[in-house]
Amino acid sequence: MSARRTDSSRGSPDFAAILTWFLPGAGHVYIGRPIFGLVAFALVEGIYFLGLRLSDGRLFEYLEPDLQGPLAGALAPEAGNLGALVWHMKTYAFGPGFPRPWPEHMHLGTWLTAISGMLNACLMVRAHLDARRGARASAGGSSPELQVLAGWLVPGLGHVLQRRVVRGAVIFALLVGLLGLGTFLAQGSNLDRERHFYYWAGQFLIGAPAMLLEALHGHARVTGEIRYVDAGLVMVCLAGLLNVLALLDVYGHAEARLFAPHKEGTDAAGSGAGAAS
Amino acid sequence: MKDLPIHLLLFAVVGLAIVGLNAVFADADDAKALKSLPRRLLWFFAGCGVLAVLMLLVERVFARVG
Repeated sequence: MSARRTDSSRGSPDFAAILTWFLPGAGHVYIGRPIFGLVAFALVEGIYFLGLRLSDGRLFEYLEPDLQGPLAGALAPEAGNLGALVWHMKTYAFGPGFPRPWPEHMHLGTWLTAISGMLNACLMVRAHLDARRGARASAGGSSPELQVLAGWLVPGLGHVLQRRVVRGAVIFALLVGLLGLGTFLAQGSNLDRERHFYYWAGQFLIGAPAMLLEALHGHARVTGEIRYVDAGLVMVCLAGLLNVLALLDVYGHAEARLFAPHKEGTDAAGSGAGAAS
Repeated sequence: MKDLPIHLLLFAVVGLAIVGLNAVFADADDAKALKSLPRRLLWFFAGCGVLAVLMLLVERVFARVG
């Protein structure tokens, strides 16, 4: 995303985005939209702290001792909500160091903290765009961050919302197909954050299909050797990472339409990937 | 080596997803993106083939065991 400012901008777009990264909503307070900022803060942090409560803050106890370090959370989806993640790690750290039963809603709790990170990433996009749009920010219209969020939730949905149905269908088929095949090869062992903490983080980027599979599979025990588990794990993680490319395409297209001069309501020529960089 | 065909098949599936996403990311026009897919696939798998041959060659020359 470029950081150019419009004449009517309300502050530095980059600073607004970085503020939001550390404290959800702070970027909007900075650009003069305190109500939006406070509502966003309550939503994003509310989800994080609900997840924290359900999981008793024990997310990082999933990690093996040799992976427990100050940067352990850097590749977790919670890194999208950096302030909460840092507070989480400072307060709960890696537990007492001996095994104990997990809370009843541990998986749901860790999903919620991860979702909070993703929501805050979309909020950062919104803060950056609002700072660039300036006075036009509160005028409504297209919401690139919601299209990106839809594309995360269901791969290809962001494209469908932009009326790029063929593209959306191709992306959905490729990525969800890859997720399904990988899960089949790994016999569902990929659907467990405790077992594969970082592969799970990649897989999380494919959104609802991964959530649905995890809920259906129910974290079954692994009772024997799984022959193609490595191939399966790589596939599901790759599916999530490729969805990031799809999300950038969604954002680039939306951004090009939003800032195309006097072309509101029309399809901006040459939009798409190039506009995202 | 008995699993080689299965691994090649799995690699082909992964390659299809990578190239497919690359095609739609690189081209804003859906029809052009889909049309360019066979050419992109050819380049991708040919490139991977060359890389595999080179790595095997390097392994034989510099890291041969026994």
